[in-house]
Amino acid sequence: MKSSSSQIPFATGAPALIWQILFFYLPLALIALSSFIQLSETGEFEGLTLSHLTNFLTPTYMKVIGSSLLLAFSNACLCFMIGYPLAYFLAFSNKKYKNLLLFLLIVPFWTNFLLHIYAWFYLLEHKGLINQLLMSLGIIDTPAHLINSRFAIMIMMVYYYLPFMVLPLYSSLEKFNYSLIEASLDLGASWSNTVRRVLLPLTSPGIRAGFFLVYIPSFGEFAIPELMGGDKFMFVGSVVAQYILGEGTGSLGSAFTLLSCAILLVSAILLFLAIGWILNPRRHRV
Amino acid sequence: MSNRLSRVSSLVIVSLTYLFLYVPIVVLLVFSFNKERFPAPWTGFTFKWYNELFHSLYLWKAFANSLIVAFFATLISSAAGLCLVFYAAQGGRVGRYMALFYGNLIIPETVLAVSLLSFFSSIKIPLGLTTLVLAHTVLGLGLVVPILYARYLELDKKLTEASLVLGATPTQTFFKVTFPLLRPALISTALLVFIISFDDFILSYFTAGSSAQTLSLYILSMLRSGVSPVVNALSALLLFLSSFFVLLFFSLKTRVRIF
Amino acid sequence: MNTRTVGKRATIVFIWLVLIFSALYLPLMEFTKEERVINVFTWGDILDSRVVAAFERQTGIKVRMSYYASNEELVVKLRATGGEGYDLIMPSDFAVYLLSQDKLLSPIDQSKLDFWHDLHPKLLNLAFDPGNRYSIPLEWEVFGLGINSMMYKQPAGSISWKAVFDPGPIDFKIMMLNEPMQAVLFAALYLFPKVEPLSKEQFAAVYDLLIRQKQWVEAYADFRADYFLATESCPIAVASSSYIWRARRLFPFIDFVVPSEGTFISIENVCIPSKSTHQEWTYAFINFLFRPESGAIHFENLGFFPSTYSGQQAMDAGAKELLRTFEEHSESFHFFEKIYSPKEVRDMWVEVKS
Repeated sequence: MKSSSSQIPFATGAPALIWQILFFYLPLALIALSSFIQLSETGEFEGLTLSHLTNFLTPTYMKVIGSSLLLAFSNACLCFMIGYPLAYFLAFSNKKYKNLLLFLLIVPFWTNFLLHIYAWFYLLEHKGLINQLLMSLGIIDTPAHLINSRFAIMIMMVYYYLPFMVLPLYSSLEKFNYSLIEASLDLGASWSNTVRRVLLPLTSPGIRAGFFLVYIPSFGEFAIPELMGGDKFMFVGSVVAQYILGEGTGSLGSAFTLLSCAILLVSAILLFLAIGWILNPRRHRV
Repeated sequence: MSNRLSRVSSLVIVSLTYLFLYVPIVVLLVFSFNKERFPAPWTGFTFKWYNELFHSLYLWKAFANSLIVAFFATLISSAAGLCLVFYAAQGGRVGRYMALFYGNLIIPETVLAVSLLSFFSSIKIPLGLTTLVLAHTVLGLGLVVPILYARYLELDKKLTEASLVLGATPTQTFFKVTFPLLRPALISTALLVFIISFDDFILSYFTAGSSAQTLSLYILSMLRSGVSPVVNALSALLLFLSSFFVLLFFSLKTRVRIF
Repeated sequence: MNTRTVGKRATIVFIWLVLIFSALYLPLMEFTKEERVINVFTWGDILDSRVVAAFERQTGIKVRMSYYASNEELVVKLRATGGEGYDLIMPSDFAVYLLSQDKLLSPIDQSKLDFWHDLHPKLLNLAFDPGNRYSIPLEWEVFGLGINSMMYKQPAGSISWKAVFDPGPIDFKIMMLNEPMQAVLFAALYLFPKVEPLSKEQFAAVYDLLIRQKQWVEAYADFRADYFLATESCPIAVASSSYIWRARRLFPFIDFVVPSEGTFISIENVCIPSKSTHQEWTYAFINFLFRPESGAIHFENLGFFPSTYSGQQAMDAGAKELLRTFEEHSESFHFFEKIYSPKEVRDMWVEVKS
């Protein structure tokens, strides 16, 4: 079937592989490597060292990594709690509404997220709409402090990452056979049992995908904390940006990136296993 | 919990969610016509912000840059992805390398941006539009290749076998049979890559250098330095554009399973 | 796979690599013939495009602009290229010192300049460049407190830095700078009589002050002072005069105050790198930049104070007042410098914020 010695297919197919290796894996490897390299003042190679890494094994920096993990995890959980009912509704709703609702879901998703941040400024500022509304209704006397807080950060994170959770869930739920739920209810199981034993386990690929698509990117966020949180809180992304864009701190930046990435991956694997274990407790994991 | 209660509560959740998603957007749109800047309340209707928007040279330059980068990134990643599938169709053993392309999902974009920046600096490549295109193509490949290859595997093998049996060469088979079947997936993925690249912020922040200004970076500089309803007007415009793209995406008759 | 196939594939991979890398290095390769061009490397928002365009129209010399985001970036780039590639750069005060130490700057030929007599003497002959051998001050800005006078009633007399570091019970929040070394410098200015390298105990005091300050901080930002003041989120913001003056154009109720303990001044200078080639055209551009009209445009649009007497005529009353204060009390206007180890400062900043 294959023309024996023509390498044309390879020639055309190669760039994709070359590109990925050259511009994805090679830079990552370089970052990992430069975490261990010691440079002198003038930039000459001096030797290998662990000092860059150990520099960050302090409570302060570990706290930063911890906050990022917490942020990512709570974001994923919130998105899940809001997103699952939404995806369920979308998957089993009427055909004519389904497309409209999906359309409405994706349009904000496909709009520049900085504009969404600006939109939330309008709402959450001291003289923003929410405060103006609450004050004119007499519910509060002084403006509530909504912007530049963890609350504002969380709202924006959920706002931005919700579609990342909903779409895989929707995809999974679409393939789900509704009659299984009916069967379970007919056989006398309660609604919550049905959800727990039938619906969730069988949609676990979608749940996992959704969690990953939210958890991993949320970890590296720095723009949302800076703009919505008044840059009062340090996350991994902020530290990395500061070190990498600053001068003379490149190796340190790489070391911190490597360290946080490693911790992220370990936590992601644990999360992956935990989800599997929660959804399918006494059976083999899917 | 009865079925009716659950249906009502899910309706409530869904409506609240959509409200949550759209209230900021609607507010933004409404106030793009307001006579006064934030934080003044509604004082009157005007088009002057749109006027200012259309006369802002820097903005259109940034817009053009974003378009160019998105276009080339989409083009290169789609072409490269398609060719990879072509290679697979001709019997190349691609399957085992597939895992390489899932790396994009495991690494946060910030990490990728940072490593690309270090990489470019260390081998002294000048930062600018070229490096942006390159970075966004990496993003694109991470989407195009898995989706296209998965779609390719799902194709009915009998169609290609029939074509070969009837005397077509493998190349002809690819172009006349396989490619048309892949086209819907290719187009919708290309749209997705285009939008992701156009809206991208993190990669641009690190790899654009100081010379190339993309739309996201421009909006960031506007956000950082001043409150002007011109941003509202811009949002309205971009929303209109996104809606158009989403409509395009939905008009593709074949339902594409992305995840 | 036999060796022939491997060989062919390796060649293919090699060809692709060559193609990709030549595309990447393309901007570095100069194929254009010699034309009247000068390369200017500067901050993003320091030169108004109209001034540049007017110069190009008048002289026919094309100005190719490149931008850097910080003085550090400028210093690193110039060190890396050995001073080559650019005809004009615009470092801040301490950057001039660093670059001149590394011998990356050309001495300025004052005879080629037609405005030297017009420069304000207080801006000349300063510690970072004695005798102004390598730099000409173009613009200057002062740091201080931007105040929303509708929200905050200023006390009679002067304000102290205490208002942002230790205000006591207040019902509003302030906006603070986001640059660690600057924060340390301002804190040191408030706490200690002189601005000089800190001892360990002094640094610990600075650290305590900054951590205590956080309870009163609404946000840390370098760029958004005018936003916070205009939207009435914060009545007081620590910011540079250029931002405040830009905001005052649209929101006249914003005032600028220099606290009683003194403050910091930053001077943007014009320098010529050592390996630049088109010096004649560069001097033409420099002369154009220092014209009163250019100074006026820069003041009106970007809020920077011009360095020439004639340019300063375009300033408003508030700016002229500030200039007088500077002339009379120039010893309370300090320059930014590193008064403690950058690494410790960085770590401290992360701690303050987490």
